[in-house]
Amino acid sequence: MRSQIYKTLGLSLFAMVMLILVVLFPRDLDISVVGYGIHAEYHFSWEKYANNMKTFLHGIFYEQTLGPTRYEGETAEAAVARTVMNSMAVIVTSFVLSMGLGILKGIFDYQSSDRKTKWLGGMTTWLFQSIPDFLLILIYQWIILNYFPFIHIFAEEGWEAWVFPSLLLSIYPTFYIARITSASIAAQEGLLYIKVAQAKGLSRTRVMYKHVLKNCMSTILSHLSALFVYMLSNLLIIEYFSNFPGAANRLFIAIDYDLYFGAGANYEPGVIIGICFCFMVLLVIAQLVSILSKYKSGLR
Amino acid sequence: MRNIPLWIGGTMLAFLLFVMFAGPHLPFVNKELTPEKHRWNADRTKLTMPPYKPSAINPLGSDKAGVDNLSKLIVGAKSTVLFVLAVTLVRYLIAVPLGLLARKQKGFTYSVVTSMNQVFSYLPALFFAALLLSNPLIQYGDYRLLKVITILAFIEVFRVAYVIQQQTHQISYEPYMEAGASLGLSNKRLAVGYYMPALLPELIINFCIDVGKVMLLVGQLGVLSIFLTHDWVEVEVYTKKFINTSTDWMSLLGAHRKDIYHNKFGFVFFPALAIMYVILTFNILGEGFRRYFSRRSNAKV
Repeated sequence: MRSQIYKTLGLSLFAMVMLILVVLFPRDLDISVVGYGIHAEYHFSWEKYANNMKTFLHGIFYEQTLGPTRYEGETAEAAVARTVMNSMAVIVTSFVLSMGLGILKGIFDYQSSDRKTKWLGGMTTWLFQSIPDFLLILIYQWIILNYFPFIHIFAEEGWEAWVFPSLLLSIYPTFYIARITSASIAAQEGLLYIKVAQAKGLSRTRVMYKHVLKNCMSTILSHLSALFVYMLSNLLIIEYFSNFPGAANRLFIAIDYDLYFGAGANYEPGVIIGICFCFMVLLVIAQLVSILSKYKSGLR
Repeated sequence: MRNIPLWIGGTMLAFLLFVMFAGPHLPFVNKELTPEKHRWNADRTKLTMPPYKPSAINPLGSDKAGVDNLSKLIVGAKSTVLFVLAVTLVRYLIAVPLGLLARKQKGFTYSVVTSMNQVFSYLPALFFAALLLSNPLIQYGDYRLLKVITILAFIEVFRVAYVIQQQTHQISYEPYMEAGASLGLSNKRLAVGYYMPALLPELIINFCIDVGKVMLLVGQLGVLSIFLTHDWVEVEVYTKKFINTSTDWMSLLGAHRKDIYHNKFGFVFFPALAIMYVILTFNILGEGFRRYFSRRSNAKV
């Protein structure tokens, strides 16, 4: 187990270094006016690359800053801290919500797998995962804008800015957890400890929640990192559509994918590296929890 | 007829192929996507300007230049689906040999596959794609489409290779594998004659599911206005702009996304629905193949 933890930490460090190398790749264009037209060319030079590195490392080690942003007066680390806090509130809320609802739905799926309501279980889970997230958000915005115009879905502050993204973000993880839960309950079926518990005369609900679920938790937790990756890419689309001032959207703004100048003038490497670092820390924690729970379930 | 998902998936795929290849030649489709700059009513007293509202001529309306939206959707089907298939195919062409090389669960290839699989799992594929595709070498260079296909394929190559490695490792313990090895067959012969046939059903199923995943990723990129092919042209005095040069669904999504700020939902749903159709088709097809192969292998036993 220990070697696996070291490997995870080492690889995350490697991933971070690779990311920094990709982000600091020089992006400035040589723009000149030739005759009556504008002429832009890109020339790669190692000199510029090394210079970018030097500036970044100097900023981190000597000035303790990630560098400037496009807005005057705000440093990159301030922008990162602000947006990551916003996003974390949404991520944590929807994670708790989807854990609760997902496990309940998983139990329902499992228990209804031999009843007439079977289609409510497996089918909905399966169908829902085929719907692209952007389509779902489009439908949601269309419904709200047309029928509930008093709800501010583009709010940047207040409860509306926090509740609706959290609800939207929890939809896919709920179905994901439901599928894992029902599968892992099905895998426990007929095991001896369940028969013992039933022979002791415990009620079905008590067996399910006190015994089976406890054993399923480690399986569910071992999928945690996959779940978080899923949530983060979902988060970008949600924040992008609802103008939520969160980290994923800020990351995309920092990449500055401008239709006019490519990724150029307002490119903010400090912000990208900072936000990616925060997301990676989140995912590394999730992977460590996965490893620990796998180890724990292996012991039993 | 017992395998309903396979039948539904097959029918949906057949319809998709029909739209892709025969669709542009249908009579109501404007293959050239010619803009119609104005339109008179019957007795030439009233002039209408595009965008036209949905009518008998334009079932889904038209865009600001007067190009029929339905035609755009149908003409774009072919390039969209072929692009997605190309990405998935390239991914599997790299991943299958990698997975086979790493089957012994030790050695250089194995450690590369497992480590890189983990490295790429620290950020969502969408973030990697946005970061890598905005790189100037790809942004301004030539052969953009080829580079985009390679990069999108590369992002998840190691995940697929890891899955294949796990499966081959499992297969290598089967008695017939040991028989093949004790016959002294060459590695090539083992790979082609022994591993591939056993691996093929899972490969087909995973391929179908991966097509859905790539479609979703590409659609998300389209929402973010990251086009697959574009040209950088001067649109105003000293102002250059990336102009999308293809008619695929992703660019339709990107172009119409801003409509929602004016509460003009309408056409933006259709490319999104079309993308959902493709994802659903391949997911159902994958499920159908899973049932087909599992029944066949049960029948053998």
